[in-house]
Amino acid sequence: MSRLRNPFVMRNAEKIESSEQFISLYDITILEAITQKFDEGKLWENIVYIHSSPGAGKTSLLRVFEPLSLKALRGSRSNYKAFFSKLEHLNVLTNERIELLGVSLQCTRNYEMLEELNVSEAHKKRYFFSLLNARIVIATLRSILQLENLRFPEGLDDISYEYKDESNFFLQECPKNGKELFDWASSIERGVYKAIDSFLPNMENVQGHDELFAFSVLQPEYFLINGKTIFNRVLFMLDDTHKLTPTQRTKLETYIRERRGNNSIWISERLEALAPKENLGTTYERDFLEINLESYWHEKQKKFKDSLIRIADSRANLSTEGLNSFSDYIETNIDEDDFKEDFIGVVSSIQERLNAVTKHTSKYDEWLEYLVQKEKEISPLDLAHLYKKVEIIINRLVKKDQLSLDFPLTVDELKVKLESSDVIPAAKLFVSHEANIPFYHGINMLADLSSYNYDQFLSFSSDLFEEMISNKLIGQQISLSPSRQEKIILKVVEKRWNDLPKQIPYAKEVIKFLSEFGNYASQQTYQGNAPYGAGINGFTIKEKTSGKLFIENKWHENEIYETLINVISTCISYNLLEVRKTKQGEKDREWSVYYLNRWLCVKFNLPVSYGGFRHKNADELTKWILK
Amino acid sequence: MSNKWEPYVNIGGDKVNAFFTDHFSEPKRKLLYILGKGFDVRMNIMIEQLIGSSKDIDIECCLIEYSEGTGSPSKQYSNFVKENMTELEYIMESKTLTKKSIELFSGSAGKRKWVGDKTVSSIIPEDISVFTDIIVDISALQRSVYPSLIATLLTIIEVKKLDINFFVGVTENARIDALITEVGTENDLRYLHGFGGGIEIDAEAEIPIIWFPFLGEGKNEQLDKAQGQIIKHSRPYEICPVLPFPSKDLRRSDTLIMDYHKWLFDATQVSAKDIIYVPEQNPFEAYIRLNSAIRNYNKSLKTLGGCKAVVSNFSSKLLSMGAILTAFELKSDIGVGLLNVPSEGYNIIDEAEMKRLKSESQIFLMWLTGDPYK
Repeated sequence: MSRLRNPFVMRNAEKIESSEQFISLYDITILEAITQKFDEGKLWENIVYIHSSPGAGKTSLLRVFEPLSLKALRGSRSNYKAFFSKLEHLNVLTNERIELLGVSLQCTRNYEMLEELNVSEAHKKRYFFSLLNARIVIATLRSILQLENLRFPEGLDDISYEYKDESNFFLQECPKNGKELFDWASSIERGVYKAIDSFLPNMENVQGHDELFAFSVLQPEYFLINGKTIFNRVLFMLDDTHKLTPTQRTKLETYIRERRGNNSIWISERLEALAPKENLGTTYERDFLEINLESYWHEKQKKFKDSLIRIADSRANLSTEGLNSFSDYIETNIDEDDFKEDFIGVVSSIQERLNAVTKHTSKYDEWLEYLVQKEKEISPLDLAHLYKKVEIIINRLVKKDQLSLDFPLTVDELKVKLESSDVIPAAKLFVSHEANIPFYHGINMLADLSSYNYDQFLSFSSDLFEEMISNKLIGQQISLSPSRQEKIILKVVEKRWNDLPKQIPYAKEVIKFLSEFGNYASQQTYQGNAPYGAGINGFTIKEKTSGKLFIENKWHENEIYETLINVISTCISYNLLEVRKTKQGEKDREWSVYYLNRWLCVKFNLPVSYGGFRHKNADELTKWILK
Repeated sequence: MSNKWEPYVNIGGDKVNAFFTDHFSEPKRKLLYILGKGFDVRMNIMIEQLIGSSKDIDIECCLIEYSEGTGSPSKQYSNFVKENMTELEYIMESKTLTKKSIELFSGSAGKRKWVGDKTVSSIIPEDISVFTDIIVDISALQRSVYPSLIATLLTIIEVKKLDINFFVGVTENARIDALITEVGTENDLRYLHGFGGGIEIDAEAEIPIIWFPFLGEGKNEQLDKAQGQIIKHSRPYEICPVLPFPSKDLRRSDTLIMDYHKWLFDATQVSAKDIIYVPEQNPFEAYIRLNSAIRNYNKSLKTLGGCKAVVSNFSSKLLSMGAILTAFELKSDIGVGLLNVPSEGYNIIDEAEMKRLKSESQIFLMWLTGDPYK
């Protein structure tokens, strides 16, 4: 297994070359989402959509079911018992053999070129189907060779193919073995490819198909080696279908939904696969099985964090620099003594502000006495938090009850309010902000910053790990203090922000929009009464009608919002905004909330928790772009 | 094995003027001159010199206007474009100037895709046999547009066996290049139109791929995206970075190695012996070395079915011609793909400096078909 100085620079599944290395680095938690579908009896002989943003683990998940990974796992099943038993439970493999033939097909962009040809729609469909048929056949044969440890192309002769071509799909004599099947498919593929990748395109001798028949002619019973079947089930995994054109996706979806038969087909795609208007709408529903990786993790946050820590530690273990852990070197707590004066400063400032607010009333006297009493009992950090909580509570009461009578409030009443779930995180955030102490640090924060995205996690971890390696090299303490962590994180965030113009279309408008929203969210979050608890970092797009009722706005169907559509759509495609459904607010209504990706929360000094958002209408958002 | 363009004719610097005077003074010459409309101060240098040195030249000038889409950062430089256009119209005076538009992107927001490499062929006149000479001036043409245009013209000349002197010209200035940065690079890449090289043929997925990225300043983003695209095929591959040496700035390749250290030696673990050096100002030499490297790999890997190669140019336009010629020649023979990373537009770091440096630019003319190769 190859070792690297900084294994965190090695990102997605495609870049990890050996199957053994892949198995050793893969965290199996996400397989629970698959197991759940299996236990419900929905996993096999069904169409399953796997959705996520780039870097969230779609391709890695598919790679688990490819023959080389399954063989590597089966070969080291004593080392990866939990992994093995999970797949055994899914009937993917047993101690005796691998039961499932995973066939992976990349929907790379040259399918799109078919759509650009100067031929009729009917011809385009025929070429699209013939190219898909050919590639599915090739991918299946390649998987069989891998499963059976046969070499390409010699091994193709060893595969018998016993299919009676009653429907005349093959348009000529039906292939009898792997070699003939491969030759049939590759001649079609080469023909299409040569015709479309030409400076002077010519489609004259290209074979087209009326049916997408590959799934039905590639059943387990048709393939034999030495007279025996080789596997029990085929899983067709179509990856990156978002790279097909919308027309091609519709044709593919329609066909396989109408004629799916008993095939197991997984379709993996990014959210951007949906046309912009679908992407932005909130009523979009699908009538088939979906696994949304980000949503799954969102519901299982603890598991996701554990999964990230395991991944990070496995990566560190692969380093040539002798660090066998990552999480152990990420310090979680700040050294309170280092910031003692800062906490005392915060307490003094709050005292001054409280005196000013309460000088004309005796309503809060008992509370203030309570605070004084606590000064000698608790640490400066806890005291700062306590003072901040009380300040938030008093600010809220002052704002709400300006005309109420001055009956003194009791300490017991205060204690109840102090436990309020929206006061505690706000106080922590405000104290960090005011005392200028590190807020973005610790392994949990690092996991939060990932926005449920492995690549994003690895990208932040990579720079932190680089520093650990350097510390070790010069003989310094390896672990990173919270201050150092935050400095590195801020540096990564700044670089990402500065790189945006190079990376995204509509960069000027997108940056303007994000800046305006970030500043707005920051201003809303840091109001003295913390009206949004832990703060806001998201928005919905709704229209305010008469009264206080909000309705879902059809802004994305209105051409006058073209600029906004471009901006929001780009933000979603490039993972700058995360869309989450919420039922928060009005009863029986579900809304789409557009949250800033967590690294953007750092950019604007915002909290990284979910749940805080404001309603905005399309006009207000457009003004932010055009301002 | 011999190379198509060896020996070659490469005319550079001061010799260009004399060549124009000499070559176009011959009677019955009819020239098609193709150039791009843009903000680059180098846009008109070559055509100005051409007309200046051959006043009676029979020329049809085709100006490619392209839309980078709404919101392109380049739109902020419309004053530069205006200046260039005023200058061009003055240079052309009574001569024919035809404007042809192409779209660089198609589709709507979120599903927008790059099509500039495909649409550019539409500007080629139906019958090019009426011309004795064609010059494509790439100085102000988008990097991902001109390779397919040049290759289509080469193909037409080859297939129809036309007797045309075909030149590609570029006004080179590395310091101006460094002042212009690409913004909004595409995420979903594909091989340039016609330059697929069979890389994405699934039936040939076992054949190893060798990647030759021409390194230039500040292209980390593009490198990463191009690599991601190649890795999608999860095949064994080797990376042979191509660096400019000899170069005007003798330390340029060392600086590039330092700039890309993390990518070269941490992320991709390139072996130092795989680095290829090509002369900064001679695209034909770059082409010859690249051809030789690819053929050697193909020979060495014969037992695995040979190899395929991907060439990506993140360096100067002049050197990009080396990549184009190699990909064109070996496209079907071995299978060489051209993978660039198109961008939405450009940013000029220092406008005044760009204007100041204009006079230091140097013209290069690469003669690709016609008299010398008969």
